[in-house]
Amino acid sequence: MHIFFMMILSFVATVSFAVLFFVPPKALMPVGLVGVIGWLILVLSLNHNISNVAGSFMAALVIAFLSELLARQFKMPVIVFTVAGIVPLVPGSSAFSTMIDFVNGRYMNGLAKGAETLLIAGAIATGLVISGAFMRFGWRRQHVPTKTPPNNSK
Amino acid sequence: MQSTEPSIEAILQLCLEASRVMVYCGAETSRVEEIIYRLATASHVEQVESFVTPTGIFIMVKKFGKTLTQLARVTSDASIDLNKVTKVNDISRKYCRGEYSADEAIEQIRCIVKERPPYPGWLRQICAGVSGGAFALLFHGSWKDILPGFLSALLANMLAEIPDYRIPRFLNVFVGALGGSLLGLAFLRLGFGEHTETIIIGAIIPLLPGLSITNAIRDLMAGDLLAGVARCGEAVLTTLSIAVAVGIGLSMFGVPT
Repeated sequence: MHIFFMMILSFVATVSFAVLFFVPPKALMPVGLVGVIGWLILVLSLNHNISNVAGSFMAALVIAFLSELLARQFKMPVIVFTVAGIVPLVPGSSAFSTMIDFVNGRYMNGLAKGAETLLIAGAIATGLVISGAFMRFGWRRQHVPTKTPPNNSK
Repeated sequence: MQSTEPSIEAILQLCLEASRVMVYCGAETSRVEEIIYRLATASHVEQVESFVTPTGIFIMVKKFGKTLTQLARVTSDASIDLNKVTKVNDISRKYCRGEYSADEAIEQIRCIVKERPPYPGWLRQICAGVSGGAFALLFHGSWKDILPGFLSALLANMLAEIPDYRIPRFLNVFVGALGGSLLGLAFLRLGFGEHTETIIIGAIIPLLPGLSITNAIRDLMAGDLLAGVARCGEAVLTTLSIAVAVGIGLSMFGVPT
């Protein structure tokens, strides 16, 4: 029950973030679902003692995969779906602890936390890129039906 | 269906208008260059070269042995609008299928620039607040953190979206983060809310440069190095201004250890 409630929350959060970016109204529901799925993967991997970095990576992988599918389905650019979808993965708490450590003068701890934050961000980025690259093998070239070219071109 | 071949001036104008709107509204570089390529090849040019960065666009087209080059300067402010990106994308698809003539397509793009956004301003502010409150709870907060998170995110977003061309964007974000975190900390001091961390995260969530970072990575991986590094710089500066603002807010209220 508790996890179900959190899923609804992450849906609401993702959709409202999508509104901030003016995601087209047709795409709001899918974007919300993408956010929920990504967040679920992250939370489940954390519950199974998988590190934050690996969990974020897997979540981003799935988010990018779904976004590419949805982009083809809705004939919209991919970023429409990814941008709000990855927001629940933001390494908020580690970034916050980084800042607290630096403000308190615990520079070594701050650097360690900062490295963790950067690793999580890098993992999200890597997940997005790998998925995007795989999805674009093969069927990236769509055929634009060209009109009959006139004689004086080419 | 168009009968006459578009002139080279019209093709170049179309490419420029389309790419300018897309860059301005936050599309990634490789997509914009692809759109330019498709628009030009659908118009049967002999050669098309484009160089797109987040702050400027250079396009060269060659047709009937005549070469034309133009550039457009894109003033970049926080005007992210994925709806417009999608619509320009649709128009370019339709143009490539031959449903529009070049002039009609240019007209359509100009209409898109002028049209009203799909969500009213008040709804966007409410949504900024809702995302703040929801994230305050999602990041291991408690029930008491929702309302402070909501209100601080609302304030942060309102301050950050003060439209004034004289204020640099990073300062806008800085002021927003400062106002949001101060309000959140004031709530904490008054006994509303429990966790400093979750409320602060909720407050600054609407300001995060999510699109910049996503686009920066996509650009770098697609080989658009200049655009990617430029966007990285933008994202880093935005993030740092948020961090400094929150740091100042915390030091005013006493830093939690």
